[in-house]
Amino acid sequence: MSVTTESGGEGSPGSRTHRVRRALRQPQTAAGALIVATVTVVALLGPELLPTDPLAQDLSSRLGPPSPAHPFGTDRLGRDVLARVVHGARFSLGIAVAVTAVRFVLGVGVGVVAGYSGGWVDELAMRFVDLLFAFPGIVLALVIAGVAGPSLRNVLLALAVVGWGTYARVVRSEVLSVRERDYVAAARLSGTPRHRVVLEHVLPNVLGPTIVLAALDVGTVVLATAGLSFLGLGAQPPTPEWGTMIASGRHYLQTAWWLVNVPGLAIVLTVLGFTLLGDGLRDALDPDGRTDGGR
Amino acid sequence: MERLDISDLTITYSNETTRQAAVEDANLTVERGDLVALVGKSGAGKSTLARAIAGIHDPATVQSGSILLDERDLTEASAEEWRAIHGSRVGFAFQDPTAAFDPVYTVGEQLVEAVRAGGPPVTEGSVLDSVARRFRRRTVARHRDRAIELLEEVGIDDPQGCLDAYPSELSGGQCQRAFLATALAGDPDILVADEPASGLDATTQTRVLALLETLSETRDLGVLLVTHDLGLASDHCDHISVLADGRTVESGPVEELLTGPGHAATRSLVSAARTLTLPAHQSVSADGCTPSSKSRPTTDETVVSVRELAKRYPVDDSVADRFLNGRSYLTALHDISLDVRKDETLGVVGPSGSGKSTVVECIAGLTEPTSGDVRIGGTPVGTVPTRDADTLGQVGVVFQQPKSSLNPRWPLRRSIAEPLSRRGWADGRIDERVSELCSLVDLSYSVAASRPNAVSGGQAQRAALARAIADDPEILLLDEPVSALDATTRAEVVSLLGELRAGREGANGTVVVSHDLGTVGQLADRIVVLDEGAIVERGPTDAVLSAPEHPRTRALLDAVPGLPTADDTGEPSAETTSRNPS
Repeated sequence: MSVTTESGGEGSPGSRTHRVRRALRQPQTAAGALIVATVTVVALLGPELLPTDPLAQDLSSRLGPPSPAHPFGTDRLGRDVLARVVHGARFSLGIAVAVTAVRFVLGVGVGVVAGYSGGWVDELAMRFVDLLFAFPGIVLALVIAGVAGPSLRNVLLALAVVGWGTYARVVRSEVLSVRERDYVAAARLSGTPRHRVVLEHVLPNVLGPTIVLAALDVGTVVLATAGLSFLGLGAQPPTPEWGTMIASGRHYLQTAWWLVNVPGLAIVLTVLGFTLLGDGLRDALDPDGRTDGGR
Repeated sequence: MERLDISDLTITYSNETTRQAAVEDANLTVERGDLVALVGKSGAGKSTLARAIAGIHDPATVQSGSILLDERDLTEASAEEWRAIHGSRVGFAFQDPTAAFDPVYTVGEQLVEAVRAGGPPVTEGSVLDSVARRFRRRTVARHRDRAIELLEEVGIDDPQGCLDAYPSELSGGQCQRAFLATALAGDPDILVADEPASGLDATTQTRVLALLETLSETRDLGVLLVTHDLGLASDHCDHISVLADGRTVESGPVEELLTGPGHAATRSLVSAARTLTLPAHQSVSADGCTPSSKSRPTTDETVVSVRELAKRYPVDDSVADRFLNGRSYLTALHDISLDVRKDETLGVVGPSGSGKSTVVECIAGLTEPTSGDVRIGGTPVGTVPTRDADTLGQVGVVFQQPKSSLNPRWPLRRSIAEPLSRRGWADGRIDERVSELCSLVDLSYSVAASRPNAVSGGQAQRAALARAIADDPEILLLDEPVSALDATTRAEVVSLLGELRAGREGANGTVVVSHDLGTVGQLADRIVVLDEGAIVERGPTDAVLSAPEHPRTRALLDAVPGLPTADDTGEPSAETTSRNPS
């Protein structure tokens, strides 16, 4: 992920960049990175490169099987499934990245503040996180999305609200250990103001495990978004979103398998890609496996 | 005759691109009943060699050569055969005894397991193994007697209590003894001890090594002691082998090696160990004829004064306990008073847990004292958040662990510059000062531009020192500044500290804290001895070293590893002459 490469600095042995590079040489991690790169490119450029309109209906060729004109066949309204899957990548991935970013910022922020301040601030923040964890995440998201009304934006909000607790916990525990290190004491003795101690000494040294968490999280969110859309709480037809596509194709499973299997495969591939990449990064950035717990 | 015979052993580590030899053509012999030391600087390949003997050298591979234990080549033993060899033939003691035990089982359970298996417990294992172990608890009783015998043999005072204790409840020294008991459970012929005392304080260190000495005699056991500390080795061992860059460059009886070290590596180890032993003139000043060689013009101006400083930590017990019995406290310091004068170095010595570091933390403002106060230049100062920039600039601190005292993501230069930039210096002036500091502490430009993980412990500690003196503080606090370094590096840093002091480039007043009286003896003008949070002895360095009054001081003094001094070897010591110009 670009964040890692930039913050890793020069590739001296043992540095973060160096370890990431070494991880990428592992076949599984490389495969994960390749899938993630492909899906990202498809999401960014696919809709521009593929001229077919995902919403254009052609009732004369309804439920057409894969053919040269329509490589992944057509749906019940004669829309090109390939075009819909490619356009859907933009929704699925966009939502997933946005949700992860919100979770990341919120969780890291709360975790750092709680961990570094300690005392009642810490207590309050962490008990709130416990509260979040008391509900199954997807059910809570269902409730929020249900109450707020079905739309992609509400799915984004619902998923962001329920998922940041893990980040907060991981970051807080890291901060608790880092803030006792001598270099933090040395910085305080140098007269470094508190906010700069946090930004310059604490934050950069607690992000490793969180980056791993984020990589794994994108996959999870892709799945959750599709799940909510499948249940009718997310993207609404005719939006070409993978979950919505599976939902509307499920009635034709026996006659037109491609309607469910193609977007299903897209989801599987994307989740797999992020999971492989995240696992590989874990070996590089979080060798002690601190991101294992709390999920 | 049973013996361990290593010949032409080469061990390599490899990654995908390169293959690096950690041990090359090493030769070594350990006879039964012999205590042999394997000495070398860090990175010389000592541990790799030691682990190969015990068959736990993974991921390194033995390329060539042999390890013969009674004509049997251990390098060719299969995993199955090793299981029989471990414990019954070869025992192994680890550097960090607390990590060698599994924290979730009592010492007794693990020791009994070793007794049953005839070897030390396997700490790693499948889930099934640990489930099985749970059920085995009840069989503990059967082997308890044997376990108690073993614990008595290694000098544990309360074997019963020790059996029921968890590893975390034992002190480092007790833990190492208990682990030695597990290593001895299967009655091995050879015991390999990899830096068994390095993590322990000086007093405990000597006791553990004395124990090894006794064991090798009473059990007729061959002991291979791996250490970086030639002083320790010479105090306790019969033979020494010196390892440098993976090769055994020299070996022989202790006296021979020390009086006429042939190889450069041996010479540097010998001189490193010499500088760390006590100043040789102590016996002279004991007669009262020679005034302190270190007496320099000092003014009476006090830089730091500490008055009736006390610190108690609340012990976190359960809420119910707190409610019923009130909170309990751990007292780290009882009403300590001390002064540091201008141009003076005050040494604070004490065993681990005596409250030494708490004194430093209180002066630095990192901990708030429970009562009493700290004055810098006559003004009472609070903790860091309440101190103003000028007060902060008056204190420089060097911590024990060089690597953890530097931000791992910053090049050394940036860390050194931090206090300066916080004090609002202009960039150009900072660069100039940092370069000046680097040359002062002998850091090259390329090293200073590297990050902490790319430099050695000694280099990192030099950088930490440069940062501490960057803004010319009134008071420099050195908290165990060399304890984490190997002997050679330690000697270099100690002499650097001496130079800085002589050249007035250090601070106006210095406090050096250590458990090692040898280090403090070389640096300090006056010494304060702490024990259990109270000052038990204080006085000028020479007086304390030559005529210690308190038993604690004597124990610390005995613990300083001594080489045969110049008087023993019959040659005049350059040290003695230079230190006593009179």
